[in-house]
Order: sequence, then C-alpha cells, then structure tokens
Amino acid sequence: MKTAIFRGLFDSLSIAVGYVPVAISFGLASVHADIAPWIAVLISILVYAGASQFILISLVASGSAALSIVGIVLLMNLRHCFYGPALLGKLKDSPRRLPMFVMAAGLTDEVFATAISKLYRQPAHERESWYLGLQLGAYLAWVGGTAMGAFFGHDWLQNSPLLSQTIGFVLPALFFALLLEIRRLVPNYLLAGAALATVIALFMLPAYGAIVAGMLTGAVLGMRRQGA
Amino acid sequence: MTSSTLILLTVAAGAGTFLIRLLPMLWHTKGIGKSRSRPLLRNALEAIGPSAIVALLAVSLSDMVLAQPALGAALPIVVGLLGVLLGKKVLGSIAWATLAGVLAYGATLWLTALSL
Repeated sequence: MKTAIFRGLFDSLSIAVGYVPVAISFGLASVHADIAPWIAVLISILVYAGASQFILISLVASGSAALSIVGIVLLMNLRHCFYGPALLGKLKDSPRRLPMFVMAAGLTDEVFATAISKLYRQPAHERESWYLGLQLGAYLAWVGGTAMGAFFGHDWLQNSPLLSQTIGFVLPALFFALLLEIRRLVPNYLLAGAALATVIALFMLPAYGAIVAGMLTGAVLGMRRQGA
Repeated sequence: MTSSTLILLTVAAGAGTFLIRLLPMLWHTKGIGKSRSRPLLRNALEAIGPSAIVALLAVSLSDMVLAQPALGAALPIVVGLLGVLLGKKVLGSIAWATLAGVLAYGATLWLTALSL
C-alpha cells in the first residue's frame, strides 16, 4: 500500500509542475488584491479549485457581494460533479478502503484527468492507494505554491516578465501532455467533437460553461459507441 | 470586505465545492448496480474524462490566443506544443513532456523578443 501511495506521489509531479507556478501566481494575485497572505493560503486549503479561486479574489477586489461570489464560485466548479462517478467507474474492480469524503476532497480537473489517464496502469488492488498519493501530492503542490507566491514570490515575477509569460503556458502544456496519454482510450471523433463544442461554446458562454459543453458533447458521443 | 466576511465566504465556497465533488460519488455508489446494467450511462461516464481534458486544453489555449491575437504570438504556442509532443515521445512521462513544452515556449518567447 505504501509503495502505491509513493508511486502516486511521484506521478503527481506532472501535476505539481503545472500547479506550483499557477499557485504562485494565485498567491501573488491575492496579495495584489489586498488579501492577507494567510487568507490566500486558507482559500487554497479550503476551496482548492484553481480557476474559481482567481475569480473569487477578483470579485472580492471589485467589491462584489459575498453571496454572489459564493454562487459564482460554485457555478464555476459545478463541472466537478461529473468527475466522481467517472472515477468510481474506473475503480469498480478495485477493493474499496478509502472513505468517500477522502476520495472526493482532492478531485480537481488535473487530478481527475491524470487519474483517468493512468489508473488503468495500476494493479487493481493498489488503485485507491495510488490515487491517494496522487491527490496528496497535487494538494501539497497547490497549497505550498500559494504560500510561496503569497509570502515570498512578489519579487521573482516582478523582475522577470519573460518568466511570468512563460508560466502562462504551463497548464496548456500539461493538458496537451495528458491528451497525448489518453488519446488511444477513446475514438478520435469523440475528442474532435468535444473540442469543437468547447470552441463554439466559448463564443456564447464563459470558460467554465464551455468546459461543461465540451464534456457533455463528449458524453453524448460516448453513448453512441458500440460495445465499449 | 472585512477579513471575517472573507473567511466566511471562503468556508462557504470550500464546503460547496467539496459537496459538488462528494454528493455525485455517494449517489453513484448507491445506484452502482443500476449503472452497471446501463451501457449507455457507462459509455457516457467513460467519455467524460477524455472530453474534459480536450475541453480544458481548448479553453486554456483560446485564453492564450485571444490575449495576443497576432499571428506572431502563435509561434511560441505552436513550438511549445511541439515541445510537449517531442518530450512525450522521447522522455515518456507527462511531467517531463510538460516541462519540455514550457521550456520550448519560454525559449521561443525569448528568441522572438531578441529578434525584435
């Protein structure tokens, strides 16, 4: 079990490479929005959902009402409701030991995407432990990165515009690497359909709505698969 | 906004996000026998993961392209994606592929800035 947890921790490095720069940026942006560094870290500890955290601090900075901020954050994170059942579907042949609230706590976009693309490579009896390590590594990277940005990172990015621009490419690079990993698990028309639906939806909806549109299109196309 | 309001807001947003992740898992567990007997639902759930990855990629790339719509600004993105592709082929792991792509992107930005 321990080995599987450590293997999960190691595999979370791919997420950490993406998380740490973005979390540092979040810490920095929070301090710029006059939020105390320790509250920025608290937001990462409790909310733990990247994009919605950036929206949260920008709404706080613009003086929006607390209730509407909570509503918008939850609306943005609504797409996460699809992840749990899909993940459990991948764990259906594995012995269940972890409480459900532990499984759910760290289920972010990147953890879900990495778990879906790598779970099938783990032995069935070690999948839960591996997933626990993956979640833990990603969570520590996110919270640690936020603390670094909030408490220490101000000077780094201020002094290097190139670094701050390069950091913006980390998440697209991570998602593309994940796509290369899972592209053989589903037919190409499904991936193309989901991508097309997302791009079209972007003209009409905010980004989080477009992500849901892409996922639902993929799900509908998935239903048409024969004998999957 | 006061610190105490911000803390309450954070707790509410955190609890809500956690429940969004947890409740569908609990509902799924209760109805797992049913979902196994429904191939349509199973196929849909299996397609959601890869679709989410594609959707997240499309959104993150469009953010970058729309931030700088000029043709020249697309060059570092293309080189960065090629870096990921090459990194994945040569080095294998997702972490190294991501790092290779980010380095290729940063190097192209730097070279483009030098040539201007």
